[in-house]
Amino acid sequence: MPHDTPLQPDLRSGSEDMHVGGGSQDDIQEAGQAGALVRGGAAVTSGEWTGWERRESSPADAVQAALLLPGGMCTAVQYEELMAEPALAGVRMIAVTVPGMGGTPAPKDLSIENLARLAAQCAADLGCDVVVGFSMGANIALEMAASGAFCGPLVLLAPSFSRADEAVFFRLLDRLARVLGHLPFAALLKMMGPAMKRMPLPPDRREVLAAEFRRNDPHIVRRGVRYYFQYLDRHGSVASRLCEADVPAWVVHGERGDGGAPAMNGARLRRVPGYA
Amino acid sequence: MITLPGASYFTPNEEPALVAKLVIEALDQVRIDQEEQRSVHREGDETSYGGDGK
Repeated sequence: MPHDTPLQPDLRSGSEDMHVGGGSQDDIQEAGQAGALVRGGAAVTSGEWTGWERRESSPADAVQAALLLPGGMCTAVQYEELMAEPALAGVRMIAVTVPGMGGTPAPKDLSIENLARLAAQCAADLGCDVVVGFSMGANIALEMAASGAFCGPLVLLAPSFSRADEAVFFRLLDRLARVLGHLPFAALLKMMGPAMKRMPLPPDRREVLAAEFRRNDPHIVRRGVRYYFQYLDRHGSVASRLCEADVPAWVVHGERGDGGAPAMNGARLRRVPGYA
Repeated sequence: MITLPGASYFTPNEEPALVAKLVIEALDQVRIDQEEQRSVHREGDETSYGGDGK
């Protein structure tokens, strides 16, 4: 149940043009070390992520913080329901819009690895103890841990561990885009409003989320989706990367709708009963 | 791994209470790890100083 008095998220919007090169392993390790420092109370701002659009609830007495990464084409607005949960009233919650999504400036390198590097810097600079990611955001979170750039717990919502885990229509769009360019994604963005009618949310909230979707630039979405599938294909399955990261992780998925249960490909995750 | 029954399209929006519960569990894990680290450091300090606190 949401708070009786709604939180007043602080919406900060970055307008600077971002041109970011690929991150090296050294950069990644450096970000991870900064994270350790920040958890000890020091704050170091490394800068590349600071123009990101973000929504923040900051209770004065919060001692712990969570970074929230939305799904592909989604923005920080996606996490308003979670940020309003009473159980999290004492936690600093920082939802960011991944650069390039929701019409925000896109880095040249939209690879999951580079986005994970930037998100790890963000988590470190803001002193985040936990990272929550949805869909593509979950894969960014996974890669933050797999690269060693973040060593805290993860909550992964509807991640895809391989191309086969992704929703069929999304895989089809990626294939169509190889011939038709950005057009399949332009069509997708136009159809998002009607398609979201299946979501069990109040109509006005659905409209807000649909409007956020429509902010996307289909050219950027096409690039981002291509990078995303390239990342999954490069590893075959990232399930083993999650296990090797050796961080506590909660993986949530639906029986159907979000691509279903991700294939483990030999990796072993413990099933948690009694949550639903 | 937690499987939600039925269809789920936008988990954070559709199941915020469940996700909040998991975030709390994850933050509790951080707290436990930090307390364990502090405990290890305290034991290390006591060993270094011969346990007399000097």
